[in-house]
Amino acid sequence: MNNEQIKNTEGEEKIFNSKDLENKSHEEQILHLDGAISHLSLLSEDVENSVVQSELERSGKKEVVGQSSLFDRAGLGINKFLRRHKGYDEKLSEMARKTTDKSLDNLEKGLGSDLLEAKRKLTDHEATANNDLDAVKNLISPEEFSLMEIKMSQEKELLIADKDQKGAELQEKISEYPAGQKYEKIGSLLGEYENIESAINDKRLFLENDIKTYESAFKNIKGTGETSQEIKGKLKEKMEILNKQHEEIKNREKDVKGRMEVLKNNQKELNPYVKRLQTIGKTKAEIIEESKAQLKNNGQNPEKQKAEDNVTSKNNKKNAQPKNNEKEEDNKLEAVIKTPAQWANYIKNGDKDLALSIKVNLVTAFNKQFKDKKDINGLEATSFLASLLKNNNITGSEEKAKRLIETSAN
Amino acid sequence: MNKNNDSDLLATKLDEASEENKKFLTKIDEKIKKADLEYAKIIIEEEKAYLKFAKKNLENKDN
Repeated sequence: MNNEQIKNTEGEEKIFNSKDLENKSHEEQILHLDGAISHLSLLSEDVENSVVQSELERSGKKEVVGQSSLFDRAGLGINKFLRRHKGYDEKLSEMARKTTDKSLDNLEKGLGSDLLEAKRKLTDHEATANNDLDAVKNLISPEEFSLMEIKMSQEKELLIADKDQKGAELQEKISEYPAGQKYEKIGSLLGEYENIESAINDKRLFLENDIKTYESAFKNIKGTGETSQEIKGKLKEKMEILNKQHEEIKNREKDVKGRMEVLKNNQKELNPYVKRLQTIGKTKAEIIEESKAQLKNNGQNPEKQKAEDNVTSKNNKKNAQPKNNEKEEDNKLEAVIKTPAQWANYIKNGDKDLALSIKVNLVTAFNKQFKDKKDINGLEATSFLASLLKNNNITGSEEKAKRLIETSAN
Repeated sequence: MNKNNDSDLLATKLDEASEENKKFLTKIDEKIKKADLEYAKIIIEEEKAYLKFAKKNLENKDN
């Protein structure tokens, strides 16, 4: 299917229809479902190969509008996104969802209940076996007692095997449920959007700081007369471009936050379903135990702690104005001072975004380095930075140091 | 002379910053597109998963 076909498929005759399933044999119904699945597989490839490509081309300079359309269409989901494509059948989709819900009820009553029963038998056996052995210990011979012990142990092994087998079967079934799969994928995608949002946030903060620096430099340019006015006019135009880009970056941040909200709502909607999947076949004691363990992990899990730290650091970053939060600046510059090699690497590898993002901190680091010197000048700071760059095998160190100092100086 | 240097330097810096911003926006747009595509795929995969589930259910009934 090419781009044109995708664009012109609305209203076309469907290649399959849920009504076709009525009064058909199971074999025929399965064939129809196969057709639907194959179609969706093709559609998935189309999205990747054609739809996105055409969106990229179409969006051109209207990035904000263009980039949101694919997400919005996907977000509106089945009704607005898939319905436009030839072959999609809402009733078939609805039927599949009802079947899945019904199947979950059956799973709970069937395999889930069987597993609970297997667990109960094992617990009962464990509870009574020792009592039974104690009761007969003095009534039977040592040989008979030994045989009884072996029999009890074999019974227990069989019960454990039965429980494990049912547990594995149940887990396999549970893993097939679409809602559980979607929940995991959404969680991972949310992480990707968070990274993007964090990068935009960093960029916005540093750009805001740069704009202040440029405005200050602009104010310091004195001079009257026609030539000066002309020069100032051109500079003003350039600064206007920067302000517009700042607005665009702000819009991107807003767009990404909007997407994150949608995904979080998706997760909230799936949450009760996922929780239900997680509790099938589990005893009340197991559910309580798992909840306790989860609560404990929330307090001690290093990964979670790291994630929370990131959120805190991110929030701090968001609230921080480079000139108004000295403590945070101190922390940042400490990091810069401690990791000059890493910073140098950013420039060496051409990652200008990263280099730019720590540039302000670097200059602050110099201020700290020379804070006791009253007569510190740009040349001295530049040579300090140049030596730092040189030590890290950065070519053109003098020039780069000079540029960084000049760009960042207030 | 100095004033001219100041304004030239500022003009260069502004051009460089603008160029960097353009590159950043292009890079970030690509990342957003990629993530959006993932989202579209999740929606389609979900739909497929439901159909597969329905199919399996029918097959089990058949057996």
